[in-house]
Amino acid sequence: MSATSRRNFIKGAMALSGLLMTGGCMSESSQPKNWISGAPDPDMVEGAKVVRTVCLGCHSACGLQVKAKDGVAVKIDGNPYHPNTREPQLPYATDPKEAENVNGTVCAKGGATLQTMYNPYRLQHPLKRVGPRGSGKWKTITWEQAYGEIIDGGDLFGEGHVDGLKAIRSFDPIDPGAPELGPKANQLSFMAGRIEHGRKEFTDRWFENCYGTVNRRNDHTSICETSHHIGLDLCFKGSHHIKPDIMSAEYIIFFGTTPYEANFPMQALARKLNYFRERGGTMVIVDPRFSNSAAKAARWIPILPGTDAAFALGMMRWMMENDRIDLEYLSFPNAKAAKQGAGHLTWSNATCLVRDDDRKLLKDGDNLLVMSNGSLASAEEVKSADLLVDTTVDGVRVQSVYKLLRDRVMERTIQQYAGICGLDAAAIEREADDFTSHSRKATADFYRGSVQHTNGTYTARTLGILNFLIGNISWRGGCEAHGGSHWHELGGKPGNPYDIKDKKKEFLPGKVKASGVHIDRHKNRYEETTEFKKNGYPAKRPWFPFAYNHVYQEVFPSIAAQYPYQTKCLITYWNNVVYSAPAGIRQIEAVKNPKVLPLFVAIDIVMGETSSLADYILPCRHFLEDYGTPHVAPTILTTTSGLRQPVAEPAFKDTKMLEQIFIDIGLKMGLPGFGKDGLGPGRDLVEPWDWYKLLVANIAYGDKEGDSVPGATEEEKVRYVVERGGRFEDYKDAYKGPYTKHAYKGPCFIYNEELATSSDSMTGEFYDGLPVYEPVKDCLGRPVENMAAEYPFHIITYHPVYHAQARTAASPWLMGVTPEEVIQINAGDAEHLGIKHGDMVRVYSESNKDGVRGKAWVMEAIRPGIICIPHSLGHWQYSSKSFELDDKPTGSASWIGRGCSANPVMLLDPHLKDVCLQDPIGGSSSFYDTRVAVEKV
Amino acid sequence: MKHEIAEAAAMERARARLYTFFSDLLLNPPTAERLDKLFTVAGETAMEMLFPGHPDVETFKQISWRHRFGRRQDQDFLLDYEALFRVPGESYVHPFESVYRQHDDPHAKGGKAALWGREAREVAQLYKDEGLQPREHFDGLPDHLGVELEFVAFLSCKCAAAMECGDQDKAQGFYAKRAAFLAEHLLAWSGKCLTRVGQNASTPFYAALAALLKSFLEDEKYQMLEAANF
Repeated sequence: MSATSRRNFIKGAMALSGLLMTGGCMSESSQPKNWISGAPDPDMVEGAKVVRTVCLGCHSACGLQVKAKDGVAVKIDGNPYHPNTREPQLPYATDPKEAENVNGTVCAKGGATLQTMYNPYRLQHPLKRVGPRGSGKWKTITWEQAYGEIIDGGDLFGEGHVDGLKAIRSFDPIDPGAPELGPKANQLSFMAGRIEHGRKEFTDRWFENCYGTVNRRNDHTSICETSHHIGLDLCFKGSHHIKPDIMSAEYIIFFGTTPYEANFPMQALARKLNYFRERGGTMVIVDPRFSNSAAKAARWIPILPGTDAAFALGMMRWMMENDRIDLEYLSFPNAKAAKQGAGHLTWSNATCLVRDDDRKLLKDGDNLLVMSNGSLASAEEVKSADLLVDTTVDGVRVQSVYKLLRDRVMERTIQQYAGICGLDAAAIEREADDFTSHSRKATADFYRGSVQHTNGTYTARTLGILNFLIGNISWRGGCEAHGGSHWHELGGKPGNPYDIKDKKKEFLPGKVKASGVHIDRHKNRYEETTEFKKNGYPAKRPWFPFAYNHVYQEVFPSIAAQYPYQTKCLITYWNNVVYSAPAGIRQIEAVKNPKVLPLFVAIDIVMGETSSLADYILPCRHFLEDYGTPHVAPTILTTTSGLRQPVAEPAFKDTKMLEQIFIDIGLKMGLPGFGKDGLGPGRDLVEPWDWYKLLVANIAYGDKEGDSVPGATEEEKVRYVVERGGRFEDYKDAYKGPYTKHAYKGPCFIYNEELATSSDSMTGEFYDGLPVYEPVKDCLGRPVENMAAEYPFHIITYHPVYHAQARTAASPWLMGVTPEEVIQINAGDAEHLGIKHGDMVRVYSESNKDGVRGKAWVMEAIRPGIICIPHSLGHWQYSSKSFELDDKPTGSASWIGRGCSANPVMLLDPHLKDVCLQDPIGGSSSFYDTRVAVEKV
Repeated sequence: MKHEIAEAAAMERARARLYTFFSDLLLNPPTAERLDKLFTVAGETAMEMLFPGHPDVETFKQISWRHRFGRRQDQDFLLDYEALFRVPGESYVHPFESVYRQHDDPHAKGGKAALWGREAREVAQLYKDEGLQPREHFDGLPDHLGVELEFVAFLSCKCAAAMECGDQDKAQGFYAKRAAFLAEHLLAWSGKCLTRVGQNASTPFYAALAALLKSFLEDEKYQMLEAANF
């Protein structure tokens, strides 16, 4: 710089002095403070023990890295080895000590699990009721007393004799006149709310193979999204969950889900979608509510609830009329043809022929038949087959599946489909165009919002099949129908040392085989019963032959109805059906009468709404004090076997792990499979780790020979897995060429023969084997009356990102960020009703005229005509109020019961009158088919 | 000799003012009061003297003239500022060192930029080592472009003060610290960030501001290299 330049620079800079406004952002200090603004919380924990486990704040099963000091869990981060928490996760070979310096992410629910673990309102000792059921009066008892009374029975409450578990365990038939119902042992029912892998199989073994009842598990999935699984199970062979391959996709349309707030695993979905959007990917959200996800989407489509299938059929029509169907893919009739013809790992049954007389597929022996160039041929022997067939074979009219699909789709115009959805036809056309403009890198995905309807399974199938029409299954960037899955902890694979599934009967000496009809009639066919032979249709209550996931909301009403038989003892675990199920409050009376249900044992960590109705409550451990081997959703493309394990000393010493409770009872009852050699020669079963160490060993050795983790001995291999909180395939192994590595390789069923040839137990009518839109119906197949004049609003619900079902209310952090205003209403609707933000309002329905009350949240972010109440609020027990224990009132915190829930106003089935509307196929409870009225109070 | 030291000290003070000027504009939204002070004859003159012949000085002068005599664009400037530096969106430039540096770091296995990364922690420690702490109501991050500019201004002031007191060793120490901070932090990423500001800005004001700052920092880099070679 020259002297002149320097002088000018100095002068110019001097002139700037007068232009400045502030004194800067920093100041001098002799003891400057740390810069904490915006910084991650400083990790104050030194010298802590790090334990890696798996969260259960929701069902995402994210790995946690927990720090514990002096036996107390003090800090929670994400386990950096776990693929839910990082992109990419740490390589599995990373030294565990080194990995302590790296954190994965953890969501608000995960971080707040410390508060639910150390919740002062947890149950700390076994309790026995001292008043009538549900009276809220309890006394503390010892475990020995609890076990003794539950096992041996007697006049336990001064109300008459009660059979204990020993007396109920009889292998005489319940009803000799109806032997299909099975033995009296079936009068013991287990009903878990949330139960996960490792534990599921343990309790299945206890109830089915040690005790001998078919009524194992009965878990919650039908109030979650079971029809999503059932619908997809009827689309694939052995696969029941799809997710987009987000990291390589270009276009994703999400129906009825908000992946930035819920779904599985929420953290990974949100993270991957951020990458997807950064790459220019198009995300479309179809949801009546403008969710957090809709806020980040390219387009929000505010559809009417329950009409997603109509939207998909409209898309199909546009695709058919605009030559956007992958007809080549659909014309491949077998695996070899699809692979050789266009590299597909899957093929469809679009060319199969459906008989007009019996709805079955045309076969020659076991061989499916197709038409190829106008001639009948074995589907296995031709490279392609005709898609539009309508002909006669041996005097029977047969039509190809694709022809039937085309006819179905053409039953309505796009305008008519749009009318059903309450949308403009252009919305359907635009998505059909975009969906089919990315080759195979597009996916239609869906979850709970689409399927928790009476038409849930049909909708699931229709949305799933939308993907088949562009041939995107198993392709990189397309629709993933398998995911990385998990190592098989129960064994049975070539590499596993322990075959805990026990095909050779080595792991359960004295094994019992349970048989008979389930209390909820899931997987049971009405037509095979004595009752059907006597009475025909309709059955007394619905049967659910396709609902392999149990029908949770149907259990209590069935107990009350003693249908198909009386339940003498109900054991629940982490179950809150009266709170969580639609119209669940109407199920309270179902279990209150000891004459109908003589013994009710709840296993729980808190005084939940359902547990409060029990005779005994056995306090169990929190999941941070527990074991488990949870799996993840196919969002994760690499193989993932998480390990849940205790991270600290139990918060309350007189609590027990669920497995320990059942081991204790098994030993006291002398059931097979417990104690010395309980898991076969040389393998005792006296504590939970005896079970889990075998599962972890199977994970460590892997499914194939040579698939083992490092380690010279089994103990070293197990430690390798334990230290890392599970076993995780490396991120780089997600793909194999143009496919995902662990891709689904099998048929894709546009027409489901089994479904199409099965009849509904109430109507006697065949189910529909094709994609279809069906309006809301009751169990007798009657359209549910709209009553729009009296009940002008449609009520929906959702999970806020910081809550999950009935387990987060005890966290002051999570409740602290929950708004007081929970009844969400469109601003225009609110103005019309004279409702202002924060006003107290009443929401009521035909089934619940008293309704629920809460503060209004007036917003634009919801379709007019829709009322939305977020889930997880409005507890009336859970220590939101006191109960009487040992003649004294317990402590309570009213904030736990803050807000209200939509469940109490959900419609009851007009015929059954004791349970909500249900999907007759998948068994899902209806959360989104109720109309309500709203008024300011 | 005394004259040379005095001139060197004056240069350091001038440098500090310019760093502070840019820091001030990046850390604070363009209020009407601030714009009124900036778009003055004094402001235009200062720019001409500091950046002789730079094409964006003319742009600055035009904006300044329009502000005083034509249509004010206060709202446009505010929206541009918010979009560039405050609100995550299409125009947001992520004005933080660790966001840019982690993209470049071959050892950052995730390959994903992050707030409060290694560089943020490093500069926060450097500030603390110099006895600096964020003011009570400041809620920004330590590796914000504006904060790093302010830190260089601070070091330049310290350097000037030491020179004025005749403590050459101390002055040399601050000079070395400034040079090291520029090399290891500010100059390692500011170019990319300012290029992005230029590309994303919706008003010519912030585009010109970015170009002028970039030009100044390039000159600083050149002078540092020259001094090192000398």
